[in-house]
Amino acid sequence: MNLEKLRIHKAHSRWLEGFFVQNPVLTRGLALPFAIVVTNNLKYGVAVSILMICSLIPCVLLSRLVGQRLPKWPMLMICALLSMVIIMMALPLVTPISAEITDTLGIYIPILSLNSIISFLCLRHRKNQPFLLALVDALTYSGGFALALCLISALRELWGANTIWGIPVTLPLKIGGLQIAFSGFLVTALLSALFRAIERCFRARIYRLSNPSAGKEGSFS
Amino acid sequence: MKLKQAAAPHIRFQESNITIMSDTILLLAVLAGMACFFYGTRALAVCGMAVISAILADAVCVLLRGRKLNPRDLSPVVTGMLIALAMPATISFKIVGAAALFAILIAKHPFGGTGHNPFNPAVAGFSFAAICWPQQVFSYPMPFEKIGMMGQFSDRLQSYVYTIGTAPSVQEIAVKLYQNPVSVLRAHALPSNDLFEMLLGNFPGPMGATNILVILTCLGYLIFRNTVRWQLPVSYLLSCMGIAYLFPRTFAGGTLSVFYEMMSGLLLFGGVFLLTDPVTSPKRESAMLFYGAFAGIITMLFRHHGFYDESLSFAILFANAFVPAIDHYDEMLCRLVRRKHLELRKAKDSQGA
Amino acid sequence: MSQIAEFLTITFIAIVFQNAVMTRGLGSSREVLLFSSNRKILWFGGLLTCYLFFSGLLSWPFYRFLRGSAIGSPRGTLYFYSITTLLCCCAVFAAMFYVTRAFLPRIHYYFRKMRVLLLLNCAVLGSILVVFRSGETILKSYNFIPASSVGYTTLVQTLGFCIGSGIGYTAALILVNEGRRRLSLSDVPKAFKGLPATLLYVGIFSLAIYGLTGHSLPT
Repeated sequence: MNLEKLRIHKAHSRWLEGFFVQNPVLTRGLALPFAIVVTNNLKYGVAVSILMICSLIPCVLLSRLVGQRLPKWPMLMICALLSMVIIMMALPLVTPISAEITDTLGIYIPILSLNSIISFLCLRHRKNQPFLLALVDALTYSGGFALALCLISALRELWGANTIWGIPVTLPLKIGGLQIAFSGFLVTALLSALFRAIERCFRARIYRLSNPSAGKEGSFS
Repeated sequence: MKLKQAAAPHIRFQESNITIMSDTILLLAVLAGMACFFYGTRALAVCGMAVISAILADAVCVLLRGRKLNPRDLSPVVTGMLIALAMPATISFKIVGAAALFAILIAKHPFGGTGHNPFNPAVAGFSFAAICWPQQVFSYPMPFEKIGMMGQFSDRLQSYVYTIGTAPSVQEIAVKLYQNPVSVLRAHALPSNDLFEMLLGNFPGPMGATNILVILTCLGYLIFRNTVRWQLPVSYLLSCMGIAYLFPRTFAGGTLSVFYEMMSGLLLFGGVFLLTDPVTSPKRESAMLFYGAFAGIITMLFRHHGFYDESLSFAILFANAFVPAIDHYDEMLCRLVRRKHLELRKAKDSQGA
Repeated sequence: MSQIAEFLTITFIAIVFQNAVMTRGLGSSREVLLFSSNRKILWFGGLLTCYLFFSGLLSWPFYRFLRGSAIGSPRGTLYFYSITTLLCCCAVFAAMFYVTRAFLPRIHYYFRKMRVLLLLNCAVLGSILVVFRSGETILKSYNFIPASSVGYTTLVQTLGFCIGSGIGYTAALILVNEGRRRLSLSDVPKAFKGLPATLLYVGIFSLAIYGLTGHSLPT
């Protein structure tokens, strides 16, 4: 059993894990409320992603800088307050997308400051991690969040309202239920399973390339 | 000793998956025949569409998981039939297909396929269709009205349009759609339908759920064959009746309210076929009694406060989610009772000695 | 009397019709959905309910003041009181931390274990903001009792909704846990094991609740 290539692959993918392998929403299951409720329109997905990118990066950097000198929960409080302030300041970035966007998103804008991606990354980079890795993680995790939200919201808008970014598309069936929040759970679950299956196939392929003698089912699971 | 490993449901009686399913299919076929009598070939076409899409989706899922196809597994047929019979005859084929696909692809196979689904797939599929296309799912044609096999629901007219004749002399005919008595009850009024006609199934409603007498016979058959334990449907129907009697939705008093509530909508059909699915019902008989009563209360609560005309399918989904909890606590209770019983006997024995 | 009726009604609505997890997805993250024992869930839910109750109690005066003085547009007011509510939540959290450490060591043990999940749980801030933003509409839209209109959310409504949200959250987690126990015995495909199957379970349950309410909820 030759696991050399798998190990190399794993070490390499550590830098970009947030995009796909450890996608914060679809694989790690962080910040689910935003993926579930506000994704009935691609515009909302993009707006929430922008706010998330703006707030996540400074928070992670802050926790990297001051994390060692503070206990866990005061640091998380400071991060939450900081991200709330940043989100309020970044609002003008998303209002051009759609005029009523802040009314529709409602409470989901302020509570974006309390999400589990922030807590996960801040606790992870509190101590003894390279500064560059913290920055890259913040970037890739917010990118992964944006990817997941855009996928979910595009799917839901396309089949639920037969439009994409407000532009009508002709499809044989309009499934109105996809606009209601429950389908956010279902679409997230299905995409999450899809991501996992793809990831498993990918790793199995690398394993088989370096172990040609292994049987088709192999010992890999 | 050799132990045989088998997947759930673990049934310790004479019957097996195939006997249960074939019993149910037999009865559903009778109901489909009645639907054909009332609504013509359109009913059979809707049933066929649902069954075929369910079977295809099931086969695709089984193959995707790398398993062998099992031709003795009749559960997709039952799922398809149940979905079709709960719909009006004028439903569009796309909606029936979407409901069957939802049932198999989302409510059944992600949880492990036949015997593992925590929610009844047919109920989930029907609920999805009801929440997505409520207008089409909850408006019904009059029985014995001529419905062409290939027609369409017309949104603007709130009616059903079909064409007859061949190309040179095409004629479009619109069929008016009506509401089930359950919608009248929801508006706190008294339905004007004749009770005897309702007993025979001669009123607008879901294809398979209007033939009250036939469904009652089916219930008797299922209980007699031991396919369904009597505790579940009986406690369910009794608790529904009790609530309908105590809190009538009409001004006409308790007794009439009981008759109309029981005969309208999907209630009897749901109690006989949807609720009693062996996979999603609790395992012990005491738990079944409790679960039936609980589901009845939930059903009537949903009917009183629900948004849609008929909330029965949502109520059954809601109740299904509680089944693991009911099973767990019932098991704990049974153990407690048995232990107390043993302790008492031991105390008696030591006293006697 | 009408106050008590209002309180009980809004608590019931928050438990069933507007359940935090099942209808708004608030507070549903992987660690919370995949709790392994009912005991832990009960501790977590109890602590969360206390936290919600005191946060609601503390932040209501600020909300009332900001709403009454009408600084800026309604939207601006939402952001103002969301900041004050977040500050109040932090204050309540710190107070609970120190109080339990000093007087209630047994509770503090669990509080310490779950502090990250409690602090960064959007169910707390989310529920309080929901009731501040649309408390009266919530009460009116179900026609249980005739609601009086005062133009803002009263303290009784706030506290009722907070307690109901906490109880509903706990009940939902227990239900999910029992469902997961059942799923762990069944033959779930590899890709769906764990989070996706749980999300599907919650999603189908949520379909049932949306079938009852019938429309999207105010956000």
